[in-house]
Amino acid sequence: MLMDIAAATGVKEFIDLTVFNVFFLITLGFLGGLISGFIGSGGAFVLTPGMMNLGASAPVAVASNMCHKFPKAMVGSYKRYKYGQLDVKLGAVIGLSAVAGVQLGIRIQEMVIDKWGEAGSNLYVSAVFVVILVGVGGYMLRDLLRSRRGQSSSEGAQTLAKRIQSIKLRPMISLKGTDTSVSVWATIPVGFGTGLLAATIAVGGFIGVPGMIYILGVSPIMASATELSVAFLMGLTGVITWAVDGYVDIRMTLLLLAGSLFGVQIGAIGTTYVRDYVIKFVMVTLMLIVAVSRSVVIPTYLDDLGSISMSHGMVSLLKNCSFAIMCVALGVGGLIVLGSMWVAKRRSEAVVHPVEPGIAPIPPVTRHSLVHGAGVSDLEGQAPSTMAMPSSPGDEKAG
Amino acid sequence: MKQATMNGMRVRGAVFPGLVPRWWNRPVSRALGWGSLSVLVYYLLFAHQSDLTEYFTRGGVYAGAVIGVAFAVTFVHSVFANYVLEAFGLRPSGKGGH
Repeated sequence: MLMDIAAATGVKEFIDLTVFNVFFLITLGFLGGLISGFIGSGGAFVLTPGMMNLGASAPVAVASNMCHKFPKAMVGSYKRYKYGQLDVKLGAVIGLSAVAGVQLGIRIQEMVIDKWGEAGSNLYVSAVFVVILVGVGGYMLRDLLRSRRGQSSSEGAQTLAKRIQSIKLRPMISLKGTDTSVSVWATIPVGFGTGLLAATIAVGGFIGVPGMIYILGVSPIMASATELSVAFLMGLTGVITWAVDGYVDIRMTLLLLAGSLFGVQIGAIGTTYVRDYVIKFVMVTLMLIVAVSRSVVIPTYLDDLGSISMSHGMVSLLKNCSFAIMCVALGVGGLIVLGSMWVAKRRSEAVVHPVEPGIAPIPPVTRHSLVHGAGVSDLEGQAPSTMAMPSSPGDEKAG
Repeated sequence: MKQATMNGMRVRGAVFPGLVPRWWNRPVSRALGWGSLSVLVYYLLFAHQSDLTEYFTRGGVYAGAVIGVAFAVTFVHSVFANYVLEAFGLRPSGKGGH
């Protein structure tokens, strides 16, 4: 199956590791890991094209990226679990349906390649990128703007999650840290969509995280953490398939890991400092910039298919522009994550320092309050850590 | 069992407190220790990169080796990264541990 895709898209081409290539891969890995640790996914949209730009063939780039993705997601989800942000049960249930979605996604890719060749596949991937990212990203942006204006979340989103939670079709799964539960059947479309998107554009989280937030009613912090465990399951099953066919370039994988294992842990720590809406903000920003990047390159695939005619120079210009915009997306995402962490850390330190001895001691922050902000009202005005917490339980429940 | 402590806080990972030298409990020492191991692992793997690539791209049963190496490197390097971040004072808000 994968051999067919490989035959259509290229052969096993392995790059020479120059000093530039080594630093490029480590930097790319670091930024990708930073974003993954923070929003639960992302980074892959630029890692695969990045490796291809260095000279790796498409299947080798995809396989090597996937081989780096699953250990990175494993470390990230372990960290987020330690911070009390990961819903293991929900992650396992969604992960299983995501694995099924990946298989369907691969079949669809095969069909597209058989019918329209590599150019058709590229056009299909780019079109999915643009439609999904603009649709979901636009919805999230509207929700974000509404919550900035003082409304906790868009009414439509709240209604949908509440309606889904009111369906008591067994088996039910309780959502960690809340008194709500959701039918396992409702999680299947979210997981399936995540897998389908992961097999198509390599970033399933662009469906998985918003799906968990708006359909299941999970908080953004918990959704992004749970997405990491889903990415681990998808990555592990995916890499077995690729590695059996011998497409993993372990050198590229190891160099990506050298950067991403730092990045993913910094991103995970960052989630304990920022408010919920920052996660949505980073995700929306990335989705919309990546959508622009992919829409820029669509005319080149139409040219490949013979639908329009373009000069060689123009094709090359548009492809370079697209890659540059994706790098900008990665850089902007990284800057927002690090910047918001820095601001939140400084703010919490500013609250810590004025505290004099003799003032009532800071109550311990429980794991529950860390994730759900349930203890915030108890700690108000005392605990510096509340700076990082959602201001109310309703605030974080965007769905 | 008596817990190893430093400044009144429990020291993680100190299974045999009496056998572990005191300097090892500092994040900087642990970062240097695990960092050296990580550098060694990376050096050994990249010193034999052509053999490694040749075997690992054969596929089949070698897939297990690919995944095993990815896991092993991840373990060593992520522990190293964790202690580097701790040494720089980058800890989660509201929680001392990780």
